[in-house]
Amino acid sequence: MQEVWSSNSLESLLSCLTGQGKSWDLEVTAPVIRKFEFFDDAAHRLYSDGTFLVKYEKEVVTALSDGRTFSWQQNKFSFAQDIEQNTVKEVISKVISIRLLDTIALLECSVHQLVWRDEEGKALLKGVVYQVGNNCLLVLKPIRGYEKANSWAVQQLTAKKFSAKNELIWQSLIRLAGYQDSPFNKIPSPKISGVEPARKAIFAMIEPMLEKARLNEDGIKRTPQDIEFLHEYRVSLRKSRSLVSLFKDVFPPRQLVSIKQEMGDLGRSTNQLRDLDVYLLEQSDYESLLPASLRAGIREMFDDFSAQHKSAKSKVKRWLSSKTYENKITKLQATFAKPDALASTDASEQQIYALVTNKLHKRYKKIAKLGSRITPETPDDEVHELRIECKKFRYLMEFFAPLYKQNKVKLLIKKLKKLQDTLGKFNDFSVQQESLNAYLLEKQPSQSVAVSVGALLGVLAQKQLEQRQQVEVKFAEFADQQTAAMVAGFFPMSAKAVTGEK
Amino acid sequence: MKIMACYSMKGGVGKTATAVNMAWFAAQSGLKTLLVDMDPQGASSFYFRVKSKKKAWGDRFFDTYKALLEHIKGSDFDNLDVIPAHLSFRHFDINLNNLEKSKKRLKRVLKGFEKEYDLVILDCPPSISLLSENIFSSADLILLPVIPTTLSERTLDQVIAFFKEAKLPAKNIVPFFSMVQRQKHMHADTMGRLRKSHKKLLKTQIPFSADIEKMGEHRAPVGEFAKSKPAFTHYRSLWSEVKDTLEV
Repeated sequence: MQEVWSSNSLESLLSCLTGQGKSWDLEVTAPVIRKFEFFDDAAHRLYSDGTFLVKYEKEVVTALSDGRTFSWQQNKFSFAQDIEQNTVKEVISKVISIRLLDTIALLECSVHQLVWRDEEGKALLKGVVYQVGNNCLLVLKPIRGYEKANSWAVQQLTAKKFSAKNELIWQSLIRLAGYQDSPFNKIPSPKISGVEPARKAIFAMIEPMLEKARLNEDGIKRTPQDIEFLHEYRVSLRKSRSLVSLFKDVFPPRQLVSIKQEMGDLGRSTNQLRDLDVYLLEQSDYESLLPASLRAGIREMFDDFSAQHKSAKSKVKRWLSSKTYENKITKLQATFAKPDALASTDASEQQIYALVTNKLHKRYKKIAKLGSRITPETPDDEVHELRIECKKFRYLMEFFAPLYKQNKVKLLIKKLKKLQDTLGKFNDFSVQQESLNAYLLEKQPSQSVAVSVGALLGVLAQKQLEQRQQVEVKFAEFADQQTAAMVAGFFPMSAKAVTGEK
Repeated sequence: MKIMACYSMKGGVGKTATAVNMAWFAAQSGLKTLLVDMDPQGASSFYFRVKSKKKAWGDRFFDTYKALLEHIKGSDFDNLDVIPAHLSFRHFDINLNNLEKSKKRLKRVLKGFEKEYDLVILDCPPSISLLSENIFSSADLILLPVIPTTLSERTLDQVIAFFKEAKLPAKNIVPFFSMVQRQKHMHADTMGRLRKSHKKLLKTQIPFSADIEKMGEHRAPVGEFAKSKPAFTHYRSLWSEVKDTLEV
């Protein structure tokens, strides 16, 4: 950590640091105007990690959270992958993965370099002053073997009562830039204790999900090259939809139908774009499934996808900017803001804890029953049903883990993930084959493309079969005695078993 | 960490200018560099404007690397530190003679810097002695400036012979032509001859240059005051070859 000294007057700062009778001289360079650009992803993950990525002209500087700093020259970068310094690229990729790097703060400063030299012209101490209006920040850079000069400077500054903060200069500068935390980090998360009426609790959980979805709209429209905006938008909507579906009993039947319809429409309107985002992201994976001689055909198909992708992006942009969309989403948000506006049902006023626990036990029973019926001869439809039931069970646990012993619930989710992995891959391969078949039918492409797609279909069918063959084993590994005991033990029917013990 | 010695049996061949400029280029390229001025004349210390502590300390130089730590001074340039010479270094041979494992002391003491520095450059006194043997056994590369004259040819052969006799790795000797004046027949002839007989000779030649002489006036590496001049380009090219040879 550095010491950053601050002053509201450059003059008083410098006058306290001139030699004045000492055998050294202070040299101050003419100020250089620097425009510092701070980069981060939309949720400010780098900042939360304690990492700074700053650019001025062609110079890029990074201060990693472990204390290492790097600087290099680069004209521009959009993603972590574009960073030309390998260590920094590696570290930053781990933090922000495929998210877009954008400017989160801008600061124009006058920068002065300070050097104190002895009578032979040797530098004894260096420093940098950053000036923004009346605000001055000074960082001293001691030189090894010349500690006396540094101690003297610190003494002078302390004596004249200048204040110092022990933090990175970038932290000080970003603060001067008027840094504001990302709105994504300000979405309130509701604290459900378990005794709330079910509908109130559900609505309180759905509200921030819709808010999060809306927050992603701007990114989808403006910077669609960061495909995670659309992904998070869809995930937020999907989570709200599944909460509605899992707790349909808290809704009056007529309203349930219309809410589900609206939410379904909203989700479906971005299906095509998401599919294409994923295809294009995985293009090289698909190509590697085929021998080199057949890859050209696949590339032609992907060129087609790219064209489709372009128009899908404009379509979604227009949709999200439309009055129709605005009305639909605000109406939905208004509905979930007023849980009392709807007629009550048998379940809507029950304590949420009892309702959730009941559903958890029921869902697990259903999974156990469904899965035990699966053999190699069972039609694929039943495997898909099992996948959906597991998903619902997982969502229930994830949404309501805070009501139980969280570390135990995490264990159960971890175990379930292993089964879900196989079921998920099985489903992915099946969906991929469906859409490739649809592509062949619709587009009637050239022979070389058809041959390559045909080959790809063959590979995918094979992979799907491999997953299918794993289902029985994975299911048995999941739905064993231990899991049954876990479900019975982790989700006690009486809330008293859990309250006060977290 | 690699260790490079700038060495010559004769004085006045451009050894210190080379050490100073190689250190500067190394630091600029991002390598954490330490220049150790072992020559009591203290020329490279002078160039970098670093002064040694007043008290004589040469007798403790070969104790442990910790004894050296307090003498390290940061240069004016990032990534470059210097241990300045002291007049008491003239007793190095006597000091070494009184110690056990007298030929390996320097290597042992420099090992301590492995974690801190990528490259250690030794500016050596012109002599052939117990100190030189220490330098020869610890260096990964012995950069040897040669003024292309008949006498220098002879000196080069003497150094190689010394290595062979003392069972030191002669392959670490990397000569290069220094203070070259192409118009002189002797220089041209000698270079032609030596290139045939000494395969390790670097391609880069450093010509005699007023700009290099001016280092004494500016008290700085050429990169600081003569970036647009040929001297800079030549040293940069020399550094490039040295960097590849050292694999650093």
